[in-house]
Amino acid sequence: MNALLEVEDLSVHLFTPRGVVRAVDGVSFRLEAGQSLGIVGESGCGKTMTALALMRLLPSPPARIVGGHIRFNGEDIVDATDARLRQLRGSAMAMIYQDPMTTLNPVFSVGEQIAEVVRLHEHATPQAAFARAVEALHQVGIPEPDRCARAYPHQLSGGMRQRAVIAMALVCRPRLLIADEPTTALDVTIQAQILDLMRVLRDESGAAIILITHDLGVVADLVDDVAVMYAGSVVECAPVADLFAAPAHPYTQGLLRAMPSLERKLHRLPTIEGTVPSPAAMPPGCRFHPRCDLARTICRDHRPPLLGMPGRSAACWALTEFELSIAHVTAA
Amino acid sequence: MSDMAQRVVDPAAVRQPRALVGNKLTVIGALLTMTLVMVAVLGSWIAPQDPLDQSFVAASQPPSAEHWFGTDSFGRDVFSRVIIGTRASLAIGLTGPIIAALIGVWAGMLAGWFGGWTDRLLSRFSDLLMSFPTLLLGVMIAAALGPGFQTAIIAIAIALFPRFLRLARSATQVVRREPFIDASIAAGRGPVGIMLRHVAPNIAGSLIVALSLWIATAIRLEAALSFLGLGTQPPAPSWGNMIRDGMGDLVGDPWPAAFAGAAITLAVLGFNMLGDALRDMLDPELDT
Amino acid sequence: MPALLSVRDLVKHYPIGSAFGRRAARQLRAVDGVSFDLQTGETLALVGESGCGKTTTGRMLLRLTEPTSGRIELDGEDLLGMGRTALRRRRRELQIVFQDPYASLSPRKRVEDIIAEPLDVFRLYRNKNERRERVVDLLRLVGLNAEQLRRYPFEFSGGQRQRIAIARALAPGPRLIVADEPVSALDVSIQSQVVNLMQDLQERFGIAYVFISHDLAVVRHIAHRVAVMYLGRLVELANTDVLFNAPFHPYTQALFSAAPAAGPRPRGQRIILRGDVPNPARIPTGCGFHPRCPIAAPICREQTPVLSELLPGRLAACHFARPFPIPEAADRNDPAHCETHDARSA
Repeated sequence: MNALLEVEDLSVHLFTPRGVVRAVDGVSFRLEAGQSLGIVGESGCGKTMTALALMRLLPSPPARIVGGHIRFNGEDIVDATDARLRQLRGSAMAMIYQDPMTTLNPVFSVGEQIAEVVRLHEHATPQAAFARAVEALHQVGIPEPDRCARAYPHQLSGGMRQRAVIAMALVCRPRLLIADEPTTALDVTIQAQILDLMRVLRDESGAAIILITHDLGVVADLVDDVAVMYAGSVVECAPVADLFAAPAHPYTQGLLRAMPSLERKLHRLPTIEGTVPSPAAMPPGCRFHPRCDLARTICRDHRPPLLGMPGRSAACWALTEFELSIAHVTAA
Repeated sequence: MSDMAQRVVDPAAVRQPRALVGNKLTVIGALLTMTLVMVAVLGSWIAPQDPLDQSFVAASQPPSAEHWFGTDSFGRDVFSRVIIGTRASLAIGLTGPIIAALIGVWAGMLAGWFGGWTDRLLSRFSDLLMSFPTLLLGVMIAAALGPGFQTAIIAIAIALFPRFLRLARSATQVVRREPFIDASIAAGRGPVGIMLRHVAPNIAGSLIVALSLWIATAIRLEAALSFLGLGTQPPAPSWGNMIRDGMGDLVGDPWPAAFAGAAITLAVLGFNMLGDALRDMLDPELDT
Repeated sequence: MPALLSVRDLVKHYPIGSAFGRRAARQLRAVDGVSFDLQTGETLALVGESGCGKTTTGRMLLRLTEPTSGRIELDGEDLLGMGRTALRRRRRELQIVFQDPYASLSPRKRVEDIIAEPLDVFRLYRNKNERRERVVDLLRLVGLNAEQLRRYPFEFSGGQRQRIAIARALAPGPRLIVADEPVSALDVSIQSQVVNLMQDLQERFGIAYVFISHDLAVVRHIAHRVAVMYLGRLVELANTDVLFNAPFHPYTQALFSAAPAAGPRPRGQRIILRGDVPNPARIPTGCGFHPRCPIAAPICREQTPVLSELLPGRLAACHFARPFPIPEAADRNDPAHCETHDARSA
C-alpha cells in the first residue's frame, strides 16, 4: 500500500552567481495518511527548502530540485506539469507559512481570499464559496465568522490571522498540510491556542501534517514522529516520545541538553561548541563531526547513512555499535 | 544534474556588492562619461581648430575632410566647437548638482533626524522651490543675476537642491530607526557625530545614484539655458547656444545643431546609464 | 544596601489621533506605571508578550525613548532630570544589547570601529595602539578571534554578531546592561553559548542586567528575579525560583503553562487563555487582564489591582492571587473559568 507521501533521496541545490549551495542533500522520509511528522532543525538546516520542494514552490531561480523523488499518493510530482501541480495545490496539499500578515493579501477581505481557493478547485458560485469560507472560519474557532470574513487582514490580530490562514489551507480538505513555523511569529499564549487548534483539526480532518519548526517544544504535543535535520540532511528520525526520552544522534542529544528547561535551573547551560557550518565550508564526512564529542576517524572520512529501522533511525557511526531497539527506548 | 560540481559558496558573501565590471550597462555608461570628461579636460589640445576662428568663405559647410562636423554660419569648425563646448556643459552639469547635493543632503539629514519644526521649515522651503518649473526658475535667477556661467551653476544648484533634500530626508528617517543608531546613542555620541559617521555612509548609496541621474538632468538644463541665451554667452561655445545659432538655418545647414544635439544626447545617455548601473550595484547591497 | 537602579512609576503614553493644534483623543499607554529596584550584579528579567511594554521600559532606562513621567535613579542620581551633556557622561555606565544581531551593527563599519565607538566617544585611550589593544581584549573576552578586527559585520554569523554587540556594550565598563531579547533571534545551540557568556561576564565584572525576554526557559536560567508585565504594568515580581515553582498571578500561571516544554507534558494542567493579546490603545477598565482571566470576577472589571507585597519579596497585582495549581476540577465547569481543551471558543 502506498504511503501518502514518500520522499526519497531529495536534493535541492541553490544556483547563485557565485556557486552552488547544497541546501538539501539526500533527504528521505515517509508519511502515512493521517500521520503527523515534525521536521526540526536550526537555521540553515534545509527544513524550509524541503517543505517548499514538497509543494514544488521553490524559488527558482536560484533553487532547483536536482535529484530524488517525491511521491504523493504514488504519483511522482518532481516532474509534474504546472497544470497538475495547480490542481494539487490547495486541494490535495496545502501549506501555511510563518507570517500571516504577508500570507494574506492586504487588499482583499479574508473571506474573499478563502472563497478564491474554493472557486479554484470546486465548481461553486461566489455566494456558495463565500458561505464555505464563513464555515471554514467558524471551524477554526473564530468568533463571529461572518463579520471576520468581511474584514481585511490588517483589522485582525495575529492569532486571528493565523487562524484565517489555517482555514484557507483546510477549506478544500487537503490530505496533506505543511505548516512552516506556523507559531513562531506569535505570542506564547496565542501559540498555545493555535497549537491546540491544530491538534483538534488534525484529529477531526484526518489530514497528514508536516510541522516544520526550530522549536522542539512545539512538536512535543502535536506530532507522532520527528525528523531532525542538520546542514541539509536528516540526522535522526524517531517517534516523538522516543526522541525526547532517548535521543540517539549526538546532535539531537546536544540540542535537547542545550535547551534551558522551565523545570530546573543549572549552573551553566550545556552547549554544542562551534557553529553550523556554512555551505562554503562543509566538513568532509559527517557534517556534524567537528562539533561532536564522539567523533572518530571514520566520521571525518565517510558520511554515515541513516541506519536503523524505518521510523527509528539515525545517521551516526557511533550507533553502529549499539542497537537501536525498542528495548533500549522503553527502558527510559 | 549531479555533475554540477561547482564551487560551493558562502551565502553571507553573496550579499556583497556585485562586481562593477560584470555589468554591461556600467561599462558603456562609464566609458561614455569618461570619454566626455577626457574631452572636456583635454579640449584645447584635441580640438583641431580654433573654435572662435571665423571665416566667411567657409561658412555653412557640410562635413568634409577639413571640417569633420562641418562649419556653422560664421564659418567656425563645428567639431572644435563641440569639443570645447563639452567643457562648459560638463563643468556646469557637474558643479551645479554637486553644490546642490552638498547643501541639500546636509539639510535633508537635519530635517530627517530632528523632525518637528526643523523638518517642517526645511520641507516647506524645499516644496516652495520645487513648485517652480526648473527652467522657469533658471530664467528668473538669470534675470536677477544676469546671464552667464555662474548664473547657470547657481540656477541649477537651486533647482536641484530640494530634490536632494527630500531624498536625504526620507533615507535618514529610515536609517534613524535602525538599532545600530540607538547603539551609537547609547555609546554617548551626539546627533552630529551620528549623522556624519552612521547616517551619511548608509544613505550614500541612493544619493550617489541620484547624483548621477541629476547630472544628466543638469546637462540638459544647461543646454536649455544656453539655448535661451541665459547660460554660456557667445562666442564661447556651448552645446545649447550652438543649437540656438543653428536654428537660424536649420534646413540649409543642420550640422551645428545636429552635432551639438547629438553631444547632449550622448552625455545625458551616458550619465543615465551610469546612474542605473550604480543603482543595480548598490541597491541590492542595501537589502541586507 | 542602596539599589544601583531605582525606577518609580515609569510611564510612557503615546497620543493617538492628534492633529496640528488639536489634543489627542486617546492615549496609547505603552508603559503605565512601572516600579522596581535593581542591585549591583543582579539580573532582573522583564517578561511578557508583545505589547506589554517591556522593550519600551528597557529603552526608557537609557532614555532612548523619553518617559512621559516617572523617576529613574542611578546610584541615587535622577537620570530624567539631567541635561543632555550630563546624561552623556552617565551613558558610560548604562549600555544596551539589542535583539537583532543583523541590524544592531552598522553595516559599513569594521568590527574594530564598532566596538571602539564608546571608547572614542569617551576618549578612553591615549593613542591608536591602546585603542586597538582594548578592542582586542574585548574581543577575547567575548570569545572571538582577535584577527577578525578588520572584518565587516556581514562576515559573521548571528551568534558572533551578538558577541560583537556585547563587546561593544562592555567597552566603556558599564555597571548595567539592558539586554533586549539578546538571544531570541539565535539558534538554540547558539543561545546557550551567549547566555553562558553573559553569566560569565556578570560573575567577572559584577554587571547588572535588565534582561528582557519572552522566553521563560532562558529567563529561568539567567535571572535572579523576574518581573512579569502585561499591558504596560507589572503584574508579578518575585525571585526566579520562587516564581517558577509557585506563580501567584493567573497571567503568569497561564504564561508558564503555554510555554513549549521539551517533552510531552501532563495534559491536565494546561491553561489556554481565551481571546487575543489586547491592544494597548484600548486597555480594559479595572484589571487589564480580566477579559482573558480564568478567575475573573466583577470586582476585576471595576477596580484596578495594585502591585502589593503578598509575601516578603513576592509582589503581585491581583485581587485573588494564589499559587498554582489553578482551582479544582469542579470549578472548571463554571463558565467563568477557562476552557482547557476546547480551542474553539478561544
